[in-house]
Amino acid sequence: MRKAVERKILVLILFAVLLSGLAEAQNTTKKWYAGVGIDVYNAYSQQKNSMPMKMGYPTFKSVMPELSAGFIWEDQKLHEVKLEIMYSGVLQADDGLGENYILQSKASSFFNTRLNYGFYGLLWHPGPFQIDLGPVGGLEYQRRMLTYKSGIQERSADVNLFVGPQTRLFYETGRISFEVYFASMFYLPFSNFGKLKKWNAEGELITESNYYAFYYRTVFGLSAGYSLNNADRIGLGVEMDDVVGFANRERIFYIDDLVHFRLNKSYRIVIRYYF
Amino acid sequence: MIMKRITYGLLLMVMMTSCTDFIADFGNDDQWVLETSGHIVLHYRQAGFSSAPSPSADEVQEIINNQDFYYRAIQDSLQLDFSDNVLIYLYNKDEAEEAIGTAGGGHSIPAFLSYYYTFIYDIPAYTDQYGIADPYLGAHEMVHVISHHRLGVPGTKVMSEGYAVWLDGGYARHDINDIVIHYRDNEPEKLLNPDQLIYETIDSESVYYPNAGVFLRFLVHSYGIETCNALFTTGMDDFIPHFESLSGVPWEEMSNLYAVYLEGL
Repeated sequence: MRKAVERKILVLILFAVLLSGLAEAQNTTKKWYAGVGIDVYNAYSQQKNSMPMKMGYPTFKSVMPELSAGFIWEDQKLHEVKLEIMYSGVLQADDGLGENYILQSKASSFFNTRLNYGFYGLLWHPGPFQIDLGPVGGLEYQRRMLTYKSGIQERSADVNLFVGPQTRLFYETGRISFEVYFASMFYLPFSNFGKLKKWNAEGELITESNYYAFYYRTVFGLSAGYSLNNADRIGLGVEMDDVVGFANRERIFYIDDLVHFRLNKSYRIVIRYYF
Repeated sequence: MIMKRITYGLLLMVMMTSCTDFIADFGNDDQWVLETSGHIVLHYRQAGFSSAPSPSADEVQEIINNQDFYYRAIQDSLQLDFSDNVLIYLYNKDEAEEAIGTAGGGHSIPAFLSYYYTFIYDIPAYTDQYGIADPYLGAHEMVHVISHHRLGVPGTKVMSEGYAVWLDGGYARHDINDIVIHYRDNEPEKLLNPDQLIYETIDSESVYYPNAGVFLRFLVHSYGIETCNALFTTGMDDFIPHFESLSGVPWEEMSNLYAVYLEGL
């Protein structure tokens, strides 16, 4: 009961921060954006399970579309609210030699959606460059359904709050701008909740376990933008998105009674239109 | 003031960009030779891959035959059907410590139907409970893959490791009966009762694992595999009442019977 209340409070705090930021945006430069992208998802096995862990084969992987939309505004700081959604109805397994010995690909799926809020404050302004630093946080829901060759199914679904610092190097010349950015986010065991369920080939529930994750996620991106005549802008970006960590039955920061883990490396290409 | 902000900012960036490696790094390990038979998919190193020997063609075949035998024997013992493939990644001895964390064995990741193991070419002589002489890989990790995959995430260490040691029959290439008899006769403080096993009162694997294996064998023989399978995912706190409701036997009575069983070994 207490844990449920804690989660609700954390969600409320996140949205309060987000709404206060939006309220501040009334009299500032504002832009919406919409984007489409391709996400290459790779979830690796735990080749070495002692710390530091090693991610290895086999891997579950997919190439999936991503939709994103966001709102940015600038006052003393540059704020951004972003919603990302990605889904794939096909997951492949790769044993390291390109063969799938594990999954029924078309009966396996992956879904992820994230709502992020973050802002940048100026750190340094050397010449034409600008280096910014600030916090980022958000709410994530992820669901992965694995259907094994035998028909056994495993579904992991989790809701996570994450928070961490972000930084960027920005350069603008005329209509063209470039940005290199890096964000690192912590998913803490007391701010997320997951459930793993498993069914046998006959569809009967075998087991279900709650889990609480401790993940560390980094996003490294490069993007270029071009301002159009009507002040709208288009942008093209690439991102590397890594998540490493483990989820236990209890809310702890070390591996014990492991239920689930993420050793993921994803790559993303995104095109955005700002208006 | 500006220098201070820059210094803090750069320090933060260095910390952020380097700390994923403290948690996990990427193996990118795809230099394998593949051999499959039935549901066994063996990945091993080609000859000359490293200074330590890679398995020969005969050794590869022997490993596959043995694993296929265990695959079927485990299903018979657990009375569970299992038809998924099991992927084995066999590392040479001189790379295993770095690659998988041990050069003396391995570990399994049941969600990926896989296990990672060391090819110990100079393995000590040992015949397992199935009559297989000097197996390079025993049944232990195969039990983990099949039991976790069919029964779910284990709720206690005694069920997870107990199943694996019971069905392997050995620990560190010694019969678990011999180990537990040695503890009983020479080091009685290493003989663990059911409460010590459920609540994991000892950290030493070499003490815990053989005790857990013998205890599971006793539970299965006394109360049936269905009872034990039903207890597989039960957590530590609920284990005793769940056992009593499934078996109809008070925990204390079972503990006394187990003490008698150990005396009779």
